[in-house]
Amino acid sequence: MGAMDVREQVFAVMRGVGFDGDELADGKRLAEDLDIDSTELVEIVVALEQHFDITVDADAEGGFTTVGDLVGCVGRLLSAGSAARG
Amino acid sequence: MSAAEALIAEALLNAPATVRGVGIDVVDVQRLRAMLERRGRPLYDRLFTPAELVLCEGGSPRHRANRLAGRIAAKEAVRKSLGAHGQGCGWLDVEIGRAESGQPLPRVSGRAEEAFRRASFTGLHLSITHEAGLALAIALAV
Repeated sequence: MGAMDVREQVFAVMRGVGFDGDELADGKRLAEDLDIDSTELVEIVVALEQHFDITVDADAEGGFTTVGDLVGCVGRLLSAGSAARG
Repeated sequence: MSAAEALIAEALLNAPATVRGVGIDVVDVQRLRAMLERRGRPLYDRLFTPAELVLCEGGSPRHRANRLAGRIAAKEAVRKSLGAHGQGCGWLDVEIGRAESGQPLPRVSGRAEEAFRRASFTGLHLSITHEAGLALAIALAV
């Protein structure tokens, strides 16, 4: 899956959770710009896990500051999964 | 300043000087319930320890949702009471148990326990209330 596809799918998942697609961009800050609180962030993380069939370490949650952080995390986990499958 | 804010401010002014951290949080019970219904078990497991889920079992769905929302508010209030030390604490690093008296009993582990020690706190006091579809918790660190 290309980087653009991952980004678009992350945005689609976030829209599905209820965040406005027009506001989504890598540089947008989750709390300050999008008003995403801590429980909403957990729901987004679980929705991403379910959509991409990945597991996001709970410790990583605290490091998600921007939409780009989420996109980057999903991309890394998908790449790691592809490498593991050979 | 609202009446609630005035009460909190007055309580803090009159509190012993040993109060070194305070945290407060509010959770919309229905919003949390909808999130949990949408995401199911994976979201429960991210937010609550097994012991907390056992404590929240039983009763009507509304009462169960109230208990779960109270615990989320309490966890967040405890995290806030840890101040800057508490940054990066996970949901499972703060567990909200229940004393025999029914009083909520915060327990910290992992990064929250490290934060508690770094801040040189000696105890945490916690209160939870529910009203108008909201769960509200306040935590005091001493």
